[in-house]
This record gives sequence, structure tokens and C-alpha cells, in this order.
Amino acid sequence: MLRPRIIPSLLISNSGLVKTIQFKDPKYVGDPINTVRIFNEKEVDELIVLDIDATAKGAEPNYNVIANLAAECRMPLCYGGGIKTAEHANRIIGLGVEKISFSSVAVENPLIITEIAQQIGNQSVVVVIDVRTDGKKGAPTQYTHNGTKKVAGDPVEFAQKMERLGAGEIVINNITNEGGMTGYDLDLVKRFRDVLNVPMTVLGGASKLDDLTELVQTFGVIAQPPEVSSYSKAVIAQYS
Amino acid sequence: MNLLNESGMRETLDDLVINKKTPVLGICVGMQILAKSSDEGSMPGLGWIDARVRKFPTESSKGARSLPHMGWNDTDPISEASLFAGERSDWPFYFLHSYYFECANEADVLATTDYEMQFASAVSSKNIYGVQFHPEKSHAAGIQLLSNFGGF
Repeated sequence: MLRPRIIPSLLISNSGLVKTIQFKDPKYVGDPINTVRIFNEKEVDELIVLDIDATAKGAEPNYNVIANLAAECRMPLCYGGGIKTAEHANRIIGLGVEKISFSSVAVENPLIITEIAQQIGNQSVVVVIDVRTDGKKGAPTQYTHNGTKKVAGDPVEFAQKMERLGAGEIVINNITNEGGMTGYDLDLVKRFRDVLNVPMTVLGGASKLDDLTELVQTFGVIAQPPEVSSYSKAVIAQYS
Repeated sequence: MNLLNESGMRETLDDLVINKKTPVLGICVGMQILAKSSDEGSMPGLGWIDARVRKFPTESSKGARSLPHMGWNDTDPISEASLFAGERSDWPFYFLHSYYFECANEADVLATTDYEMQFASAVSSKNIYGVQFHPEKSHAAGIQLLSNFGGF
């Protein structure tokens, strides 16, 4: 039986680990490598590391930081932030990273998803879709650049397009619930789950174990769970 | 396979593995290249194990099968598999693949995994071993398996 995955999602800014609320006010919470060691001990299922500065500043990924993280990780690692070309993607895979996540570049140049999937394999191509749900009737609106640039069109259709173009996994990142610890927006998850065939990961809102249980029970294992933290309450308080 | 053949390592590899019987472990696509052929490409594999690599059907008896098969899944080793020696009640590993290894000889299968069908998640033939999952990314079970292999 395929097991649900619980995935801490770590944000990096200025080489430090930060915590945001609705993508704003990054607060320093620790050193990324130490945190990876803690999650090794906790045996988390996977890690997502997102460099929230790279794209916003138009910078390339910080390959040194990525190499150090990958060397330390005893679980699969997904890295995102600043990847614009197949060359960047190949270099990161070469550092020992399993998956690469794409956000703004997938909006600006969707066909690059196909190009990169052909080179590193669909299974390693993750598209992160940042959405807000505080608009009319809870319909999601897509954003890039840390929630500052609005994207036209229906994010659910965008997700389907990404799947067609070669994405092997879709991450739905709910800005409205991010850091709010209010639980997952199950209606939002359902909109995507109903039309996608690839594995899905849901970020934004988890505060307690019951939130994760509810998500898995509602959508099954393939609607792979969640965000931010593992079993330790101390860790939840710090990173979720 | 082209890259491997052109690397200049092929002859030495064949000599070490086939003639000198050096233990070798293929991981993920490294397991898949041990086979004779794959649905994923037209080049022959190393052919060290009599097998072919096939794509998972997108339909299963329970409906659509989501691909890739990605995440943590259980493996069910045969009792005499020394690769799985040690005091563990279960062997969960991280998987990330869309193709599976189909052995011609059932005796080469060391462990199976269920993804709406049973497939060979670990195989061996003499000194040649292959695992479909990623032991290097699978915490304690992975460390145990790799240290078992290190002891061969």
C-alpha cells in the first residue's frame, strides 16, 4: 500500500530558514542544515525546500546551498526557486536532488516543462501553484513571485495543462491559509483532485494531526498530504 | 545506455561483474538497465538479468493508476533474501518510477511491492542486485539494506 506523505516545507531567505504568514513578513527560524538533520531524525517522508528570494530577485539558484542540503538529506528532496532553464534543472539534479519545483517559469513559458521533463523525467518535475481563495465564491486565483503577481485564467485549468505538458506532480499552495493554522481548504483541494491524475501535494493551513488525517481520509492516499511539519509539536509550532 | 557505452567503462564493468563476480547494486533506473530491454527506449540494456522493463498500465482493476508511482510503499521480501537481513518488521522504501522490472525467472525476484498490481521491487541473480526504490533516501530501512549489501 502506498503510504501518505507528510512533507515539511522549508522556506529559505538570505541563506537562513524563515517562516511566513500569507507569504509575508519572513521571520528567521533557524539554520537549514540543522533543520534537515532534525527531520532526518524524525524520518519525515520528504522535504520541500523553496528559496523565496531567487525568483523575486531574478537570481539563479544557490547551488552551494542546494548541494549541502542534498548531501545531508536522508529522504527525498524537492527544491524550488530561481530555476529558469533546463541547464539549471540538470545541474540541480546532478547535485543529488530528486525533484525540482517550478512556479513562475511554468506560467511565463509553459513549454519549458515539457523540455525539462524530457531531460530529467516527468517524475522529477513538480509544478507549484500558489493560489488565493479569498475572492468570489472561494474560486482560486493564481499568483507568482511570492503572491505579488496575479496570473490570469483558471488555476485548475493551468494544473491540467501542466499535467499534459509533463509535470509529474502538482503542489497546491494556499496563500490565504499559509501560516494561519486554520486547517486545509478541502473545497480547494477537491477542485484540483477531481481533474488531475498525477500525485498532488497540498500546502497551507495545517496545524494539527487531525488536519492531516481529514485530508487523507477525504481524498485517499493519492491526494498525498501535506505541509509543513512532522509529528513533533515543537516542530509544528516553529515551521507550520 | 548510449552514455554508458560511450563512457569507456562498459568493458571494465562487464569484466568486474561477469568474470570477477564483484557484487553490484542497481538503484531505480540503475536496476532497470540491468534488464535486456525496456519499453522506455530502443537500446538494449546490460542484459545482466533476464528481464524486460515495462510501463505500468494506466488502468488498474481499481480504476486509473496514477503515474509515476511516487512515495513510500512497503516491500515484501522473500524470507531468504540476505539483502533484507536484520531485525525489521517492515521495509518501507521511497519509490519514484513509471516503469517496472519484469523478470523472466521468478527465482530472481527478491521482494515484491503492491501498486494495484504486484511488481518486483528487488531482484538478484548471482552477484547482481537491483532495487526499484531509493534506499539512499529511505531512512533506517535504506541504511539497513545498504549496509547488508556493503557486507557482501
